[in-house]
Amino acid sequence: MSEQDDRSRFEAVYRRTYEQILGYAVRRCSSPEDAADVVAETYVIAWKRIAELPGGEAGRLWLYGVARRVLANHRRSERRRLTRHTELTDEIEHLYAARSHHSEQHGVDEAMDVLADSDRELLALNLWEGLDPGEIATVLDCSRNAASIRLHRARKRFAKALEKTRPSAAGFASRPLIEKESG
Amino acid sequence: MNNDQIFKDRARVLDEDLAGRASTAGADALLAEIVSLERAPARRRLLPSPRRALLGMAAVAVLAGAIVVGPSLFGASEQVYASQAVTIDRVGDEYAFYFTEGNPDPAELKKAFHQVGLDNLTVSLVPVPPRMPAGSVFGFEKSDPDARATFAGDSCPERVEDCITAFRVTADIKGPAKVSLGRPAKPGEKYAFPADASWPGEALAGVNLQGRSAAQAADVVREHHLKVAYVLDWRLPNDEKDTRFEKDVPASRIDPDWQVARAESYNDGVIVLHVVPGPAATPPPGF
Repeated sequence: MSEQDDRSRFEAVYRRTYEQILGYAVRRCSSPEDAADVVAETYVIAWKRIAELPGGEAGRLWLYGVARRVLANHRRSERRRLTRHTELTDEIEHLYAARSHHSEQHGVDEAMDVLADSDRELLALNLWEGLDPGEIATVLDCSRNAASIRLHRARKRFAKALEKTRPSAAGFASRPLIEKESG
Repeated sequence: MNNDQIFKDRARVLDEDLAGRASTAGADALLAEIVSLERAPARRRLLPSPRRALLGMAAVAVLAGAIVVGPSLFGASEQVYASQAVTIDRVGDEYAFYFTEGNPDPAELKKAFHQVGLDNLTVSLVPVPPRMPAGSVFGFEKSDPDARATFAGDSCPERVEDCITAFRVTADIKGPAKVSLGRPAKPGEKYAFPADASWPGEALAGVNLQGRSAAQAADVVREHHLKVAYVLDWRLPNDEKDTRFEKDVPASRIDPDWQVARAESYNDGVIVLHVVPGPAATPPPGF
């Protein structure tokens, strides 16, 4: 495949998926600079591995998987920012400023913080990215069955967390050590 | 309002709100910057050398190779193999391996090793907590007394883009050998070696259970919607004061007042509490 073919193919995928990868990053990063870094690095990896990048819808899921790992790497270590994507960062900044038309829901942020990262990510992939369990399984590299079960559990845990953090929560008595809980 | 909608409302932005952004100046600038990057298929970086022919590598098979970012750091060396999963350099009397995939296809690795004459070598990459120092999990089993293997994680990212882990091994190993390497677990992936559950990013980040009673600690674990498993840390009466670990102890054998020594996580929803038995407790046979 010629260099020019690769370029055309990459540009087509980029334009088709950019808004979704941008959305993915902005929803998870606490600053516009971080979001810009995640978007940029995701597409750099896609460019370098263009031969691996699947066509069509599978390509979008592949990119979510890459973005996810990029984000995890950024969180794990102090990252040196290699370049400042100034124009991109400025555009993204508006998204961070304009947030507030959602009414503040007391206790919801706390409930989301209590969730394990993997639970939160499952719910996010389902409710923010709109992925069904089969698609989630592709992004997380697990079976559809596992994704479905984990999503179900994450929903339950979120519901429980909401009960605890919002004023109408009933108290939970502490449980004695009775039985071993199997993993 | 149902819980799904509550969660959805916490999204900073929805994809619908981003319509049209794929054609902004910022998006254009990023695209231009990316496609100007050299993808440098690995074959362009090979040093010409008659030794390649001797190794039977006159035509090196490069499959969308791992991206080479720097020459080998070991002086006189050359790349002899590259694929999506692994890049191999010959360095004096050793081979250096750079892995870019955490779960490489074993058949592909076997093929790579075969190409460089290492039919007896198996490599296993095991997921470890991201916070564990690189190289803290590294195992080498061999029957050849002269064979050696060294962890080489420091040279990893300087040699190959997206490198996860690296090691070096004697080139002419005799007999079977196995290298086990830790690699950072992907989010949600179960660890082969445990993290301290209180480490940042782990299930009980910032929560210190050391010194608490087993009952209190178990409550804290359950409040975090995690399960509890128990290990008993038997301190042996010998001079070295060794500890022997009794695993999978049922809750019925744990006195609620015994103290927790530490809490571990394998990133699978279960917290393993290491509990120190009280002075009146008797160890099981064999301990």
